[in-house]
Amino acid sequence: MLRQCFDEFTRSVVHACFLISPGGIILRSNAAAAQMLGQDGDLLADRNITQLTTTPAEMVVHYLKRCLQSREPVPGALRWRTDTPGHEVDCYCHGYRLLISSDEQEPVVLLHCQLREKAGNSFAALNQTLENLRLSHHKLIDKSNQLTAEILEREEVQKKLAESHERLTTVLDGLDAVVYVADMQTYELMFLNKYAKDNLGITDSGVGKICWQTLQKDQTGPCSFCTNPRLVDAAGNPADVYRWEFQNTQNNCWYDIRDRAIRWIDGRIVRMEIATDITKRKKSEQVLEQKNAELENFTYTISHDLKSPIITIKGFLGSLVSDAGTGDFERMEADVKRIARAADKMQALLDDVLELSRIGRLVNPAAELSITEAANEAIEDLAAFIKEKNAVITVEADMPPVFVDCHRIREVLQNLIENALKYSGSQAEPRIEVGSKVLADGQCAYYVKDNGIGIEAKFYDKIFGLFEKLDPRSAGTGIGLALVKRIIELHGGKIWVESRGPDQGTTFYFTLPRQRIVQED
Amino acid sequence: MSGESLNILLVEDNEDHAELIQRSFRENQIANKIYWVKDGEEALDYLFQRGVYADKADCLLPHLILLDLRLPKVDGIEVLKTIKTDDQLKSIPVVVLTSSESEKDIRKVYQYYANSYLVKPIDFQQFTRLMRDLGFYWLGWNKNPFR
Repeated sequence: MLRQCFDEFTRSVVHACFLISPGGIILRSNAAAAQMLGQDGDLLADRNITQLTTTPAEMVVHYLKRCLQSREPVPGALRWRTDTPGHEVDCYCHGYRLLISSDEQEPVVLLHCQLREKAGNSFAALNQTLENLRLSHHKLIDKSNQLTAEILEREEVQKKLAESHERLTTVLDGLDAVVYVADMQTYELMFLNKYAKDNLGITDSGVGKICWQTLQKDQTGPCSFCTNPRLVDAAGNPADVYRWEFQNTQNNCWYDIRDRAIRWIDGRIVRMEIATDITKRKKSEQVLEQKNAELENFTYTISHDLKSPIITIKGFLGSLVSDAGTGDFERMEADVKRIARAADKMQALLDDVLELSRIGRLVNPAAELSITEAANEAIEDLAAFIKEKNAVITVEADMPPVFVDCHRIREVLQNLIENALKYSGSQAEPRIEVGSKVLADGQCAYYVKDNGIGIEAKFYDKIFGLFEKLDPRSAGTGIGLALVKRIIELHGGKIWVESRGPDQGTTFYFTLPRQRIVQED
Repeated sequence: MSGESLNILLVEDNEDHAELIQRSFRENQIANKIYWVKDGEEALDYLFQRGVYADKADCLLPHLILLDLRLPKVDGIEVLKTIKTDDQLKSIPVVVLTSSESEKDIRKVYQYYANSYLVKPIDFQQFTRLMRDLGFYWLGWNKNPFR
């Protein structure tokens, strides 16, 4: 029974196996054992192990004895004889005591042998693996040490960066310019300096708010003028500084702006803006531009309008010479009149130009002026003209007073009333009304209304032009309304005209400051 | 000059200048019919036969338009623009005759297809010579589709 089990069990085992009696007799052996010893399996049966090994017999007996006594496998080493004379094989063995079933009285030993050479190979492989493991272990330790050093170094850098960041924000807080940092993807504000908060009315830190909602007014999404796309290159890396000028929609101040994408302390690429207030410079530029345009227009008008009478004078003087030759005295007389009229016109133009240059600046300090009184004074000055025209003028009592250069505003009223009389047309009884009304925006507007020739809407702007006359035959140079407009605008007021059309009368409206205005230099 | 009757529309707000121009034409026997209008609006009314010219049968289209630039109501540039964008009127030669020597004006009138830009000379002799040459050239030598 035991033998059958052994055969069954060891048939497919690649190492030599022997079943040995306590006396050392080989009871069974497997195919691998026969192959190892180069002998037929049957020939091995019933032979004593001491005959098949060259290991000293007493050591073999002792080994078998140990195997029979032990409950654990007993390791050992045996040198076996093979069928080739002088050829022996060394094996590592493990001996197992087997308890026998009822038909076998004594325990036997199952001897499992492994060639030392093959085992050596396995050991070598094992050793190599162990060596590799040892190297890997060392490498891991090195790597771990390196990482630890790196982490420490990074922590140090991080600490220094945080310190440097704090110093930077302290410096930025002290700048007289708007400085802010915003995330380029989420538009979230990450930093605002004190100046920015003070100037854009932000009471808390502003951090975490959305830039286009906080820094600009009435934006429904990221600003159309956002410079973010210009701050990164095609690969998404920070590009150069982008410089531009912009009027902030929140506080209407003009800024000279420098934008740049930078890497923020947390590694994000963010937008940093530094904006210097240039509102004063911008206003000066605008004023200068306006003055230049006015000057250009003025020079153009003056050169044209002063040249015209000269052409007339020189032209008719030349004509006089030829008329003298032909003796056409009638034409000569008419031409002399033309020359005289042209000279008078030139004189009037020069006087007007001088007058216009005088009102370039308001010279008299602003004082309270009653428009009612000023209108009544103008009426007194124009009494003769009013009588000549048979006009009726009414003035609203107690109109709200204004703070103005009184002398100039009296001129305005005189000009407007005179104008109303001049263009009364064929009215038998021209009616002129000076009054005031409250506009939709709550402002008070003063007006001079007449029932005269009226004006078509298309000429509303033209009539305020310098030396512009809708009727070239009318008296005057056409400076009156230009002068009026200039005075009103110098006070920060507005003037406009309304008319229902030809022969429907005209109303000139104007606004003026109701309280003292501190003039900025 | 040829015996043809050629019409000129003179657009000039300055009465004295208009007289000088017409006198120069007469004295140089540039004997053509000159119709004088005093502002831009009247010029356009004449050309489009509207307003006070609506019923006037003698409103012949001119062979030449002499146009001042600084005009009351509708200025010369506007008149020029209107003429040169109208299919019927755009072929009429428009000679700008002004006292302005502004380069801006010169550039602008050519931009709107003026045919010539002349500055009124201050000197009487030069003034009359210019008017004579202008008449000889535009109404004598020059051929235009209305003749």
